[in-house]
Amino acid sequence: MTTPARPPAPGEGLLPPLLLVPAAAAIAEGVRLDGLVSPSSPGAFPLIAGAVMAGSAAAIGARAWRRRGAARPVGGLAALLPSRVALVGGLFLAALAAMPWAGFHLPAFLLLLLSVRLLSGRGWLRAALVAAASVAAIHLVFRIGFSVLLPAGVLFR
Amino acid sequence: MEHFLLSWTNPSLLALTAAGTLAGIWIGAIPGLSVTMAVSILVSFTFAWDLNAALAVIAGVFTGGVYGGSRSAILLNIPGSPAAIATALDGYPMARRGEAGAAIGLSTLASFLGGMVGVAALALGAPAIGEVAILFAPRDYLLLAVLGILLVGSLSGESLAKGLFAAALGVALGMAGLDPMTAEPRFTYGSVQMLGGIPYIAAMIGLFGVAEALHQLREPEALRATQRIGRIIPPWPRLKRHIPLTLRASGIGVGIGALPGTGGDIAALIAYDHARRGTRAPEVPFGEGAEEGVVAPEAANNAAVGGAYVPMLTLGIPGDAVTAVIIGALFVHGLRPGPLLLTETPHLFWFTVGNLALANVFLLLFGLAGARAFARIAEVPRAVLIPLILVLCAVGTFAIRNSMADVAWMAAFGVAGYLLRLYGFQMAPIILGMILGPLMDASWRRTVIAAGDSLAGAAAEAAGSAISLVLIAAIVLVLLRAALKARA
Repeated sequence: MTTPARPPAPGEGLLPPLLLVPAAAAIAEGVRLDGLVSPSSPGAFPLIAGAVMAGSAAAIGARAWRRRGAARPVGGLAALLPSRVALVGGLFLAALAAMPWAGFHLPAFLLLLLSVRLLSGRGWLRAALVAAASVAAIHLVFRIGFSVLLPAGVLFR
Repeated sequence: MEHFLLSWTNPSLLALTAAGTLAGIWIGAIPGLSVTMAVSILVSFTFAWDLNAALAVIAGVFTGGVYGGSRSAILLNIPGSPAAIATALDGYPMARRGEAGAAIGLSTLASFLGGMVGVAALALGAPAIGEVAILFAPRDYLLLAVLGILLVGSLSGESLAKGLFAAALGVALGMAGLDPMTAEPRFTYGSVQMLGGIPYIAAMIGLFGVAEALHQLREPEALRATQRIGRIIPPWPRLKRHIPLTLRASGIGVGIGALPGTGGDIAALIAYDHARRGTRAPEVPFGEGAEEGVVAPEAANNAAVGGAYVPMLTLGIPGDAVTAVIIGALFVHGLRPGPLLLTETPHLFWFTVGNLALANVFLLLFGLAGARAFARIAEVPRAVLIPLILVLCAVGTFAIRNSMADVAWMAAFGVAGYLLRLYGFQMAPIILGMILGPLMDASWRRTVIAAGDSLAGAAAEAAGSAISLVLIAAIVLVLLRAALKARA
């Protein structure tokens, strides 16, 4: 099933050259590993994968070139990264970055507290209750029920 | 028979299948939570489990999740999964007419019947296909993998070029680490950590879990009107009238589901179209609450579950995104889906068949008994759900190897997946490429080595094999179709 026509996203014109970066990396790796010397070398398949990527990037670029001017990209950076996504995504990455030293529970609680408060627009108390209940449920189900290890961190050891 | 009945007679497997089906219905009923997302997160938790237990939960979640999507489609006009898009066309008008209960009852019974037809097709069809697949040479595996990737890339995305790019990127990512044949480091760039390769479960959770969750945040919270649920099981004469259509739609579901790269969503839409064309005098016009418009897609999408297992278990080629993830789960448990799976571990095959049948029975029980309860679940606010999914993604990824490096991979794939989706790339070809990449690489090299390190020799050998020629013809057809579609 083909997805319906999508309006161009901001910066779509820059996409083909960007796609050539992983293609070039795969081709370079293929060449380094004798992909051009023998079809059964460790570099042969990386070379093929790189060539397919490069060909596809060229086809994507050609299609974008043909469609240029047909529709203008909608919005700017805000369309690419709306504030809700940026904030929750940022909080998520911050929580992950904190886990090696703060462990699982505190960063997860703070991530849930701030995200629920931000997304629901309701009070802090409600968000705190939801966050605490969620972290407690995860601990009970996964740590105790399934014996799954959670990031321990060094701060509270 | 003993293995078929294992999950029916073993209390813990029975409970796990029930829990998986219940969780699947719950997840499927929530708009925005996909079955693929649920299974990919779940796979990481089942890493340390017994294989049967893991398969029982996964089969339950898959079966329940495909069915659960109909709940929000009927009650809220928001399909819980792509497979329920067609159900919303007539299910929601039925609910608006005050027949939400009847729509749920019909969708449950059609899903059950469709699911059972799918399981029967798996039981009868897979061994036959498996016998042919044993004759496959390494080049045939390569061609099959290329065919599967092409189908996923061309059918599920915006354009074939984007599908191919995603698949080739996945193949390159899948080859990172030590080359299994020469122990040469590839794509490691001097990093010792990269020698072990990129953990594809972490990639899977990032692409299907984190990227999907972040995308959900782009959508505004939909206005939801709660529907009143009346009588759930329609009277027998009304049910009897729909049995022939249910069976025909189930046949469509099995056929479409068994095609690599297609899935329940396409099966449901084709079955809906079949019902619309084939029903001469519906009591209510299609689009305004025709019962046939609920029965056909629901039978088809659940029949497609059994159908999708056929190429996965017999050829090692996934039928859709969920089975691509399940293949990943089987690899995690040390199994290699393909023709040898059926001959070396037939007990596993029959366990899976029995387990899918059991999941369908639970679907029927929970679907009818919990009609009112599931209506509430569909209304869980996204403000709570999305952050919780993100936390579960972190927990699930860490559980694989207790490694924060895996969590970092998951986050990186999540961000990359979010951006790639914005530009019209699909996630399934990337994962498929990562999983099938090493198999394709090894098959390619074995084929070339067997032909004396000669591409011309390998081509000549392929030209002399009927199986290879059929696969090459299929690949050419897919490419031609995609080229024609691009021109249209």
